[in-house]
Amino acid sequence: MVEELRKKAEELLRSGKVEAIIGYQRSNGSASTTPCFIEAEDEVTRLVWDEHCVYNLTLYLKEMKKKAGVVAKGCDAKAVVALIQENQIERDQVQIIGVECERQLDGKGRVLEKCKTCQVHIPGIYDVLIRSKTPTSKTEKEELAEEDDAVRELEAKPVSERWRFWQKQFEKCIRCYACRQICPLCYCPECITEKTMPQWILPSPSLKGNTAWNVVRAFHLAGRCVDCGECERVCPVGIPLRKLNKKLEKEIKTMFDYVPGLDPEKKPPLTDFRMDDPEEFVR
Amino acid sequence: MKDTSSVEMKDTTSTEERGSEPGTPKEKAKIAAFLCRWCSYAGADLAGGSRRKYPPNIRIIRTPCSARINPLFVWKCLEEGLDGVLVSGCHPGECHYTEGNYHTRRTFAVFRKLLEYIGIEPERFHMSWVSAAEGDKWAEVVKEVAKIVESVGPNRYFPKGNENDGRGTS
Ligand code: SF4
Ligand code: FES
Repeated sequence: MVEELRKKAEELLRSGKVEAIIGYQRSNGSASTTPCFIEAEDEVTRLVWDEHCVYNLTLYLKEMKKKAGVVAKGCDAKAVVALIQENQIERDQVQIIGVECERQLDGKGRVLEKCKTCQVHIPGIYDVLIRSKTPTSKTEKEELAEEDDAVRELEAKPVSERWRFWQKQFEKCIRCYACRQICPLCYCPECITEKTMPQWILPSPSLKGNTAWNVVRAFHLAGRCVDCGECERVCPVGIPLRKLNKKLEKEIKTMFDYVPGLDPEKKPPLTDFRMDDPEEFVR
Repeated sequence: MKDTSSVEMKDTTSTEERGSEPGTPKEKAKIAAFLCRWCSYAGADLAGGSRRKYPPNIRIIRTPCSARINPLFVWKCLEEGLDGVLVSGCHPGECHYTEGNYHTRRTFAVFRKLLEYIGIEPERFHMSWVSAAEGDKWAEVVKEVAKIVESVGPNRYFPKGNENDGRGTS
């Protein structure tokens, strides 16, 4: 796959279709990878692809001032769709080098949680596709696709217990905003948490401020989050942010029959409505 | 001078006069109500004008349209210790801005689920459609909402005194 990836990248650069490729490179001799930006054809040998390529590189697309190619896994490609939907990038400004991904590993060599329920081993949108030589077998895939029941487990708990659970989590937050910085869809030039007149969210690490921050972060991504899971991966204190994201994803799917990151033509659900939307909760 | 916004004020009028259930003032729930100016606010005004009685727990805040009501407003109320929040607008199809309340409906359909999920009792958040002609309905809504909010007791999410609100000196 790596050879093919390098060849395609070289072709894209040579043909002038892109001026830069955003991909993965080995990180200082270790097994892990870091993002890299390649502008010269002879540098494509830096590109790598394996189960350590975890970053969602589409994060950099908005800031690319030139036509760029991006190496994208299935989940990452969904973020490209969302960015197109929200007019953050134009489809013809980006070349998507889709890679068939089986499952990726975290720093300790464990399969990432999100990969266990992944439905998009092959990206849903791409210009070039690099197929895996050892695709996940069907049965295994089916097994992997089993519903994520972390959300259901928590839903089943009494409301007071849920409160305690999340307060324990939010208590740990140090307000580093790594979750926001890594998110390809958190792109506001000025974040609500930094607004001071009025100040909606207490900026210092405190239970109140942390709770407000996490509520707002999750809600602002409702109907937009593509579950690339980067926020949870980078959170230095291990707050299970995907558990929040997945809950909203689930509700939006049930109520509005919408799944983020699939159709660039569709409007994001919270900018849209139907006359017959559910309203059993309204008096 | 007495703070007119505090619940303690209520026992200066008999509960009967106010049309509310008896109970010690301390137990009375405080509820914020965000009303769009074209329908629900006018409806509440009509209720007042026609001397309909309803519980005094509600503190009304007028907004241009229900779509102006950011979920953060609701969060802020709960964070600051209010016991319940009511969001009210025109009936679907009757929003002064044509489709504002369709957006409100979606927004809060999702936001209320998030609140519940992080452990806020669902009894604390309410939404209603009240038109400018529905003074009676407004009174009914407030009665029902106040009763439900009171059933879950006072807001103790961020107890005063022992919270680190980030303004400390440490
Ligand atoms: S990454 Fe974690 S600790 Fe940092 S702001 Fe986000 S939730 Fe808080
Ligand atoms: S003006 Fe009443 S809901 Fe929009």
